[in-house]
Amino acid sequence: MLDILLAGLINGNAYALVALGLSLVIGVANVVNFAHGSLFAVGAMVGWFVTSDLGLPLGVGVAAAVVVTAALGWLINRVAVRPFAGKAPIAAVLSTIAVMIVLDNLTQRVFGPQTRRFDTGLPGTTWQVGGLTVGLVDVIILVTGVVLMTVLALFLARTSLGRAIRATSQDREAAAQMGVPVDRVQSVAFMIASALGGLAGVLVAAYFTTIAPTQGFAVGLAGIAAATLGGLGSLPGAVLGGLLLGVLEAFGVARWGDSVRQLITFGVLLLVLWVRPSGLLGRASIRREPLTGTFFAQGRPIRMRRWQVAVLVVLGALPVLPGLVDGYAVQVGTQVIAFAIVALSLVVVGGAAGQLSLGQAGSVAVGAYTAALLTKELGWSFVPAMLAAGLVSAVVVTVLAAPGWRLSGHYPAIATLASGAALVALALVWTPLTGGGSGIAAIPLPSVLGVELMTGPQLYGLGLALLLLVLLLVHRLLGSHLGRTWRAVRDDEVAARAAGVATPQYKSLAFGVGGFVAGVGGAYWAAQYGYIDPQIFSPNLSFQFVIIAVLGSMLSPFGAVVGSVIMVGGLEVLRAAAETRLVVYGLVLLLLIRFRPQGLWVETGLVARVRGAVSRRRAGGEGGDGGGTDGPAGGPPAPERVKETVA
Amino acid sequence: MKRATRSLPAAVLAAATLVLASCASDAGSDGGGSAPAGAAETVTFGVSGPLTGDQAQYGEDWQRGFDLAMEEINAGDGPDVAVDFQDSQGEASQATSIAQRFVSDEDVLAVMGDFSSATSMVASPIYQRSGLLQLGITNSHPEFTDTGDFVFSPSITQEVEGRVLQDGVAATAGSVAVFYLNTDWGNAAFEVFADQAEANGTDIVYSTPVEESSTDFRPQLVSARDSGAESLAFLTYYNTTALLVQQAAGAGLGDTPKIAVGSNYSSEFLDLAGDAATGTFVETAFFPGSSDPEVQRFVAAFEERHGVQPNQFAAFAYDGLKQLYWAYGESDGTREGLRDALRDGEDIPSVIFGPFSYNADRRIDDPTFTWLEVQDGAFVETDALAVAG
Repeated sequence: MLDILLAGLINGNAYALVALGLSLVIGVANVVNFAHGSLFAVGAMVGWFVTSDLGLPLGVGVAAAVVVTAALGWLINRVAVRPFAGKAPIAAVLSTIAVMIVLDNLTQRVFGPQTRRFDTGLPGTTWQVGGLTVGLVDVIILVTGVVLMTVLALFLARTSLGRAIRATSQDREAAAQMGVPVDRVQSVAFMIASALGGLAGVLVAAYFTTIAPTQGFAVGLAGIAAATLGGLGSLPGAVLGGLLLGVLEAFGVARWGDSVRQLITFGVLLLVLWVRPSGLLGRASIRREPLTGTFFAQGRPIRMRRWQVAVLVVLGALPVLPGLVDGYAVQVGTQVIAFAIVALSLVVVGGAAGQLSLGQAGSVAVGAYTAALLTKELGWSFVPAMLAAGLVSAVVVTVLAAPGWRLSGHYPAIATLASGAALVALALVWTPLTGGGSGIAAIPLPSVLGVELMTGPQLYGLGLALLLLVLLLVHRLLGSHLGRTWRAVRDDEVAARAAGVATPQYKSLAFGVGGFVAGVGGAYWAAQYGYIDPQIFSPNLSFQFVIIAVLGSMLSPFGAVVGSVIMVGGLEVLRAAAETRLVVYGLVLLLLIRFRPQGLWVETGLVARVRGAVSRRRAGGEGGDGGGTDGPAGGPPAPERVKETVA
Repeated sequence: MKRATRSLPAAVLAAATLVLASCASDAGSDGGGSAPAGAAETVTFGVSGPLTGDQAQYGEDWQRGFDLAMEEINAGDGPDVAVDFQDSQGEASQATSIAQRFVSDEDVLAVMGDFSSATSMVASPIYQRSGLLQLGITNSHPEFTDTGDFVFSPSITQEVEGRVLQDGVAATAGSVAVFYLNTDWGNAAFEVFADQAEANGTDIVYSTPVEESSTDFRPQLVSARDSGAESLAFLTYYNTTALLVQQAAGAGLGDTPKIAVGSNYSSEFLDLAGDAATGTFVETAFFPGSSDPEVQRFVAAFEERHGVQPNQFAAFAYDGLKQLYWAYGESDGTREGLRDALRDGEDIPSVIFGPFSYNADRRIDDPTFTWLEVQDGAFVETDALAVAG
């Protein structure tokens, strides 16, 4: 009993240190820094390199880790956070996700992917206290953690820099007016927070005596959960959240096994958010800003004429003809379609209703499992199973999202992250139904109208048909009365409510429709893979969906397709660069978010001007509108109707 | 001028016909069942495996094995060999894309991989449909080769390994706490282990699945200790096993006998686990300390090339490339011919099994196992567990 408590406290101590850094940054910069877990890994690997590879003492390793991570923290602030000050927080969140991708893979490239032995040089002394085994390292870790937290608290309370940090985090504008150099304060806060993350990495590596560069991701997510649990921005809350999470996990894991760890982390987080929307020790947030917001006024979707749509549909349909396009390209095309369908669900949730969903992989998983079980165990054919998958996913997502409507600020996005991850964690635990970690293999190939689709081009064709239908559905919805109401909620929630719009209900509807689309995507996913397991639907996948949607433009259904072509197709092109491609990819992403945050598939002033010049030269245009896309033929619908109402 | 323009299409047509005709005649001479082409040629084999992501280090183990095999082959007479190693990140979606890519690439005569059975099995139907040999060098899933007659695996199934491991446990203790990886591989191995435990009369007093991404196993180890288990069995890969044996010492289980599956037989396990590894038993089909001269030669060459002892993953990779190259030499140089050569071959060369042949399920019958025990930071042959094995 006490052993387990101790194990939980030590693990929780690490979470607390990571959460502290996260909370500090959230307070000062109002950004959830997803790259924080990467800094944990960098710190640990630098510590390993100095102590175990170079053979220097542990103190030098700690110092090196602190210096390197602090420098990286400064850089992250410069490159990925500060440029977005005053803009929609979603941009900064996305760019920290991009930094995370870059850092995680760079760390792997630099230090190698292996798990390393971390030699602390400390004696492995243990004492028996009653039935309790306590190691020297355990004590050092706990003491270091407590000392660090105390020092940080004193620093914030007593020093002028600490006061400046607190002032900035309480009210940035007021602090600036009082002469606090808020930019520099933010830089310093970032460096302190990052150094804490790096230090936590060294401590944890010393405790477990092994460390791998890939471990940062899970720790980062747990840190976010802990920080949210305690209340974003609250430092005592971060410590409390971390310790609580560590202890709950330890008892849960001892009782039910390792697979419940994720379910506990995200389940507890979700429950706390429902019961206490600002976390355990958080103050009720005064800022009510939807995370997307200002992003969207900056552009309007590119309009396509009817012939352009027709050309695209014909081009997209070419791979269906067997033998015309080689099998590899068809396979990549199938992936592009699968991702595009899910990204479309984000266009509904994010672009239309202004909610950022970081847990879309959960909805996809619900759809995929539902369809896989219905077709495999009950022998349903694909189409009814797919529709059922969409419905189940819609219901589950709506129910899970409903208690979240009280949340504001960063909390709704984190709630989606938690509910998505909790759903996947449930699939890992619910072995009798889902097969647990073994997943479901040999999912039947889809058969439509009695024809079993088995070749690559046939599966591609099915996906294309689904994609076109979903595009049509989303396009119609956005152009309808409902779409207009969603946009009103998105652009100004307070005004919408004042005008009599029942915003929670409309948001629920958006999540429901988004869940349906994602569930349909999941069904297709399961059918064309033939195999699913919980690992496929990791939070990383959710991030990919968001990136695709934002890259293409959340404003336009066709943007999802554009984003998917670039992201999924582009990944294949970059394959030539083998192991470094993810680094390149993250960098490209970072630049895109920085310089074209509204996405690619929107008109900016420049494009419009060039177009205007071109069409003027063409002797007074041929009647402007290329006609509606209401025809039953569908196709990637030109988002003209969206434009009418947005403009 | 006008005439010339008009006759252009005709000229193009004529040229095209010529080209086509020459292609056809090329194809004709190739199809004549000639022997593999001369020494100037390069034979290409595809590899689908993790170079990034959680399983990246196993991909690196493979790479070392391939490098050595490639050097040895290319230093000799006969055609050179090349390996097209595509990074799958260990993900199913990537593995299917890679499979399509290899299938479309006519230079690729056979493919090895992917690392985990689950990932490999998603790609298997693509290889099978297109008639491209998939050699699952580390795919131990019992149903891995069921997809079809182009899917082979030299890997020992969990069925065999789970049984051998339980026999080892039964030889030392009456009760056991089992830690198994919560993957398809781990679950399947545990099932076999549990069946065999019943047959051997061993009590499984505690069992828990563990995740590959986890690092903290103290809570479960404490529960295992409290269950009074007389031995610990680890159906886990070396990263996880290293953490388990270390934390077991911290939980007061340092002196309890520990028995782990063969994949832990690696220098990485010793490095990572340090002193805590002492007394851990592993069973292995490949033992570099073996007196077999071929094994001695391989181990020496590997140590010289890479500075470390080959682990099981590296040995299977080395062996896999050598097998495919051997099969190419025995074949007519086509994909199908290569498959036939592997299917029909007797005395296929191997440093792991010695000369062997594939059975009707395209797997290996009853390989022999050696029990090893960690002593003073090294694996030493032992017969402490051989009683029931």
